[in-house]
Amino acid sequence: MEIQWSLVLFTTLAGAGAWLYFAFCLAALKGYVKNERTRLVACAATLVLLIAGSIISATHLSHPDRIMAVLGHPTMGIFTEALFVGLTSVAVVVYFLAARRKASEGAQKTLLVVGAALAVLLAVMLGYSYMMPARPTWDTPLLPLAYLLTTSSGGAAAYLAIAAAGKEEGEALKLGSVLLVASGALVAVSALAYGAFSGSLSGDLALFWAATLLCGAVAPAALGYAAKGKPSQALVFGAAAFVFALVGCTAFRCMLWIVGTAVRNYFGVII
Amino acid sequence: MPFMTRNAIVVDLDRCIGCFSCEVACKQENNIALGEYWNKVVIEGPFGTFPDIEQYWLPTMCQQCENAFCVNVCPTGASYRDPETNIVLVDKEKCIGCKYCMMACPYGVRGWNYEEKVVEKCTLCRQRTSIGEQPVCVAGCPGEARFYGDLDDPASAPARALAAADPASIHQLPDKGNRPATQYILSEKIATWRSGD
Repeated sequence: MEIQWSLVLFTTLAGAGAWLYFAFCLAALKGYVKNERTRLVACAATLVLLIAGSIISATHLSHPDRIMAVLGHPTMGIFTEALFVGLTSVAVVVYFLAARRKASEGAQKTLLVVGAALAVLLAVMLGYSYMMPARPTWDTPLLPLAYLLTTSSGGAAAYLAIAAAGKEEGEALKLGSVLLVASGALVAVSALAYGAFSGSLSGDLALFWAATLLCGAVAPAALGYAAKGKPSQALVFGAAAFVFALVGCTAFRCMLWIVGTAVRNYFGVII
Repeated sequence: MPFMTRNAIVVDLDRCIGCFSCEVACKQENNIALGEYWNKVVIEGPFGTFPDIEQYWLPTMCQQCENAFCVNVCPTGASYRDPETNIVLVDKEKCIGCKYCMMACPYGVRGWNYEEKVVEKCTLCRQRTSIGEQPVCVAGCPGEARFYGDLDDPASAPARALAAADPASIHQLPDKGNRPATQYILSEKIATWRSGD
């Protein structure tokens, strides 16, 4: 199939946004977030990534004017993706308002746990929609797993950069560095596992694999490790890792479209 | 929920002469643009080494799957199963052009209307069958190789064609859990079926 750029960018940005919020929730639950600015920027950046991704996804529709019909026909796919984008966004806004209004610690923690869970579910659903028997290389749980985990480095990198920009110190930055290193490993493992299943490790996809592994896994992990040693440079390392992670994630998704051939394509229509 | 009818097409490839009449008639009847298809004849072969070679023609179209993935994934209900005829159809007024159904179809037999920017497919000539006529590909087949009707009605033309055929000669396209209703008859004496799994 042809690379569907709208969907590549949607799943990349929305996935990164989901993981950003997950990382923030983790830090907030552990009590590492000390500055209001970090909370504001993390919540705002999550919403920007989710909304920007959603708007981009709509550009692949030929009749977006009819999109409201989706509400009347709930199915796996666009409906569930939109549902989880909406629920996660609401969770972010509700948590932010609760924190601003000094809600009880228990309430805030509950909202953080709910938000983190919704964020992970959203990142899963972004890939689950593509599991279909008609495309054997997509019809594996490794696909949503790879969709889920290949955006983790982008989210961790964004969290690290935002925490550094918010003048957080100590454990908040350390958590970002550790998450970035760990997510680099998760990107590599999940991408390679899917590559082994789909048989795409060999052949003419070397450029995509190089971009996926070097930009999506190695570079973020290395920058995360560097940030652990030099917290004063965490903003630069985090921002650079975010760019690398998005490039790697995009490359991996492009590859998924290239290998996603149907059982038969009798009419020869290129989707 | 049990279906009242199972309308589909049976193609007797032993009788198909590869004239492409069904493809042409379909385009003419349904006003299909150049380069677009609702029904396309695919040449399978030649296989083997001369002089032991074989080839057959495979007319492809919507297989009227009993578990239609296209219907299952359509986010707006534009792809739907007609409750009266049990035929899988597309309501173009509801199509948002996401092409999810095209991705979900195992056979790539859904067309894209470049002018209207919506998905289209074989309707089994609903405009004809609703008034008791045959789909135009069936009516126009010079070899009388195509049969349309309710597969569950033993008196229907496709049911009779299947009943008369050697069970070993009855084939379907690969079934990925979608259970295609369309069936093909191809005897070993003509060619080996190569369009399955």
